[in-house]
Amino acid sequence: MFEPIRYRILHRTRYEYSSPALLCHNTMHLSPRELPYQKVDRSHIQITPTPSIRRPRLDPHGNRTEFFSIESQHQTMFVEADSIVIRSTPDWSHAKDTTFLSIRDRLHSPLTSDDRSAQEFCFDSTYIQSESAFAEYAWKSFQSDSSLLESVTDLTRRIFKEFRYVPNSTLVSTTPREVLRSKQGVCQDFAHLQIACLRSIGLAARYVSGYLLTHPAPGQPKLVGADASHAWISVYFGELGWIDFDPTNNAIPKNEHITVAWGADYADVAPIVGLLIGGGLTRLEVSVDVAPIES
Amino acid sequence: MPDQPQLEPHPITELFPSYRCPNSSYDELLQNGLVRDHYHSLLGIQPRLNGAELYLRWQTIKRSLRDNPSASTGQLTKTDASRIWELDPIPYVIPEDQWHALARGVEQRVRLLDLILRDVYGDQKLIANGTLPPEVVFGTKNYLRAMRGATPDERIIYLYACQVVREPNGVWCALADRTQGPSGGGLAVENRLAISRVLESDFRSMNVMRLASFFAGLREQLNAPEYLKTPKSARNVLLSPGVASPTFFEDAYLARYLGYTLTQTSDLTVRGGDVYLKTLGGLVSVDSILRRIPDIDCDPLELNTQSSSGIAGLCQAVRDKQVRVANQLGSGWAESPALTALLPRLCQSVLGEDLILQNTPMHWCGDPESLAYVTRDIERFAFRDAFVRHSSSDWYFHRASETDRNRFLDMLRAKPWSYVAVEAPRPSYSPTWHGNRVVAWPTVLRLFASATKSGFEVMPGGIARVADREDKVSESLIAGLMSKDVWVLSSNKVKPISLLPANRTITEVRRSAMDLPSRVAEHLFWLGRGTERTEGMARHARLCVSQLAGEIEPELLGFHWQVVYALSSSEGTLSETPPPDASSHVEEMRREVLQFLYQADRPMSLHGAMVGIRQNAEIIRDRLSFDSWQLLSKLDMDYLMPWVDRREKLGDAGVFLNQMTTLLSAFAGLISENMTRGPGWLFLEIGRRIERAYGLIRLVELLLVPGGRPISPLIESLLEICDSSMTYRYRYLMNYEVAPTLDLLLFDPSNPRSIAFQFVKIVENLEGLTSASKVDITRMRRAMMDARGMMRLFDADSLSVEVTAPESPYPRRVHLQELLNQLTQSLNELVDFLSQRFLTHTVSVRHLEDAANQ
Repeated sequence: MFEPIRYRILHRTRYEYSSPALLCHNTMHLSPRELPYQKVDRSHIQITPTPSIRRPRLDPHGNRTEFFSIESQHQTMFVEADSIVIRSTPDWSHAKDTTFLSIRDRLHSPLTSDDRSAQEFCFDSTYIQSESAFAEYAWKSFQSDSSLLESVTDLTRRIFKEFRYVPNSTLVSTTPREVLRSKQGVCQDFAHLQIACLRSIGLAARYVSGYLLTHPAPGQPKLVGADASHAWISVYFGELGWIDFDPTNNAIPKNEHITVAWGADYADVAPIVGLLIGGGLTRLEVSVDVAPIES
Repeated sequence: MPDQPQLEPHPITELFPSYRCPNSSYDELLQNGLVRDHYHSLLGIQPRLNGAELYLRWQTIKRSLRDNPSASTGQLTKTDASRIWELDPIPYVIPEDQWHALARGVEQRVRLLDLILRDVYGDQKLIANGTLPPEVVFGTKNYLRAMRGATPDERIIYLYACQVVREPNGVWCALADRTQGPSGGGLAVENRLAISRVLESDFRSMNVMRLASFFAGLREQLNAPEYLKTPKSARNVLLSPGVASPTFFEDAYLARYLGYTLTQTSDLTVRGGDVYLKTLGGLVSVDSILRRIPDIDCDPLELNTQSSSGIAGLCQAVRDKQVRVANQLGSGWAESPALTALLPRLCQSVLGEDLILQNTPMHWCGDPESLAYVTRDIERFAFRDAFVRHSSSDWYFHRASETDRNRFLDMLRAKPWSYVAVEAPRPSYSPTWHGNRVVAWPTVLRLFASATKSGFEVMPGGIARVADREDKVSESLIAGLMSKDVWVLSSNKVKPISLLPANRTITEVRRSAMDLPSRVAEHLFWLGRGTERTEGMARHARLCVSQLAGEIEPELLGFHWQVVYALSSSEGTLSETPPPDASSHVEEMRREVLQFLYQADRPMSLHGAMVGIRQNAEIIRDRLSFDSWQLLSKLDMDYLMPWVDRREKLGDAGVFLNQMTTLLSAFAGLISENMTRGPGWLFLEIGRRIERAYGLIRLVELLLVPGGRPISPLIESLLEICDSSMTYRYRYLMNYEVAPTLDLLLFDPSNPRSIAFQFVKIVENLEGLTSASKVDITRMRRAMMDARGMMRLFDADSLSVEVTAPESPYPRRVHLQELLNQLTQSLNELVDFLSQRFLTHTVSVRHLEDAANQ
């Protein structure tokens, strides 16, 4: 079951406005990135109406992003990202020997340039502000000599168990503090909360956006969050690099998660953000379809 | 450097009895009780000159300074902000040898900061090699991730300012660096112009270094053509936060001085990846933006997703090198106190040099050694957010309660890197003219540097800020009570160069100026309307005052009531029809007129109208000539009628109302004689014509439409308000009838006060707009011509006929009313048309709804 899988991903976003929009500038993160355990065969984004300019580039985190403008009067905007990705399961079998303390010390007094670049993900970001409450919550899973893998796995399990997944219960702007209090949210909230916990105790954690297999193999349960874009986290493990954890599904992502982009939090990797002149009320429809295909 | 006094001095206590510098501070004026060389001739100290004569010299200079207000002190809207720019007549003097060390220090700091900025927005070697702690970069929102890698290897700082104090040992230290969009450079030039005028001979004889070349170099760098992907027409703009900012006057001054278009974010838009200025003639591509607003407010798409103001798409235009932003977006991060505190270390590793211009004592608590040092003696320090540029939120340990102290220590332990501990600066004292005396006041300098082809150039001068207490001067330009010009003395003869920018490029001859920003056109339109309306109000009020101030003939009371009522009609307090016995209501009328004159918060008052004009003019001051500015600045109740107690007497108002009508007529004259017939003039003029027509329609409607009453006194008043009495009397003698009045005020195209005349002029001006812009206004021009033609269908005699409608007890001139209604409607259409086609539109700009994850 951990064999590489070839996926076709169709991510469609449609905006409908109640009155014509005159101008729209946007940036998007809809093209999956290349990873040692993820190969991108194809990534094509179709936008209607045709933008007056499109400017693809890599963002500071190495994600594929694109700026585009629609400058003709329009009442709908449709974005379809069509990707083919081959995803394998990364091997973290050596990870359990890494201790929490060793990583924390390295982030405090960096030994390698990797340590130094990981430090970027130790600090507050747009949606995540550290607080003692997050550290208190996190400490229950950590002892100084404990294995980092086990501790983060335990924290992931606790968030999965103690927080309720309630679709539409929160907004993009919901803070981790509110989530900690209300004990409910969606994948993005759990990811933000877990990142806040990990950063509060001196670890480096980043936000990962991506997709899940929509229709799992017979006999396998369907994963939560599979009909839209999904989010999980990644934790710095020194020489081993970064290991992903999915608090929404209490799992370490294998070959059924597809990574699109990562950053300090949602603000760095939002699928589409835009600024609109005119347009009135907006109706938004998003659909994601992730299906394995024959190679 | 010992000062050798060459003159037999008077005891200093005799010359300046009020000058006292604390022993613990550096005294800029005196050394061992003697005046330092470089202040000798400036202060006018000569062997036989005594204290009283010195006093006279400075008092005269101060007065002459006050009589020639500069742009900064002569603001039209009086706010606290304008008061702080008062200029002290005594410059701050720096001898040449001391200046060189200071200037080298400033140059080194900006060079260093630019390299650090290039690194953190580039490959971040300083973080990778451990020189720059990552929390200083990633621990703050000031660092704009979106700009990382945006313009590799390009300069980031173009204009820089450094706030400097002189410590008790005589050594200059930096309080703060300003890399965002430093203000004050224009003010320095402006101060220099004012001071060099009043101290002309000293200025020449002391060989003061000139500021002239400073901005020329900056302009050259901003326009360096090799930068842009597609070099364009060198259209540059200065991006200002707008009139609410305390340094707006300086933005306007600098824009004019540099020849840049003064803009706000709403004037600019991104299309096809390029930045454009919205003008009357359409979109005009912009090459460079000299930025005076914080970088985070510049692009709501990428920099501040919480806001919808700014120029969406600007970051991408910068990445694509379609526009140059100075200072580059992201430069504000270098103002972080944490970085300032680390500069000595960074200077060593980046430049391999010692930091020449050291900081005043400040310690970044993220450094364990500094933290230990600070906590050992914690009461000495003020704590500042490591990423907040202002000292206003400084937290003093020794002033706090026990609980607050403990809470603070917890926070300090949890995130030491987010604090900087600072010691209060100990500024030097310099001679300042205050309250007709020379006093010693604490002094902070702001020095400037700008980009040159190979590096940076330091302005040989700057601004000194002084205040009566040490804690009132700080790292902020607007802290302190007064400014001083800074004189750097040269040992060589200084060649006189003009302060006006040297014209190095050949300017293309242009006749049209349709690149007028739409927002500016709008303000000119409203200025035209405002001045015209106010002139009408002043004439009307003047008539009311003359009718009510003296003795009143009882039989005229009812007419006077009508005239006063017409002054502000429904917005006033009078009833429309006079009470049966109006004689007992004279006081009521007088009160109404007084309120109309002085009550600024009333919807219609003369006082309020003048405030409105000045506010409008302030926003477009870079478009107004000096003379217009002078005139408009006098439209101020505090100037025209400064005595508040006399505002209760009606009779006293006549004089200032005369003055007002003269000022406004003079303004109209300036516009018609001295202003180029460009689009700006057209909008001002159309505004005036529309307002005059509206005003006339309103008056005729209030005074002549109601019938069934004797009318000659009302006609007389109406003609007086409309400045048409002379013509009328010349034509018809004292025989006041409705028909000839209507002919003169509505139909006579030779009377510049008539409605017909306004429509003729409006049609002409619309033609002017057609040829200047590409907007098709044929339809509107035809509508105006139709309105004019429609008037020909009426004749004055039939309009005078009174009709008593069955439902109304009073007869009315209904045909006249009908004509007035139609004219009003035409004018309304015109105003709508102009605002839709030419003026700025308030369109909603907002973020796309978020396609959030589930």
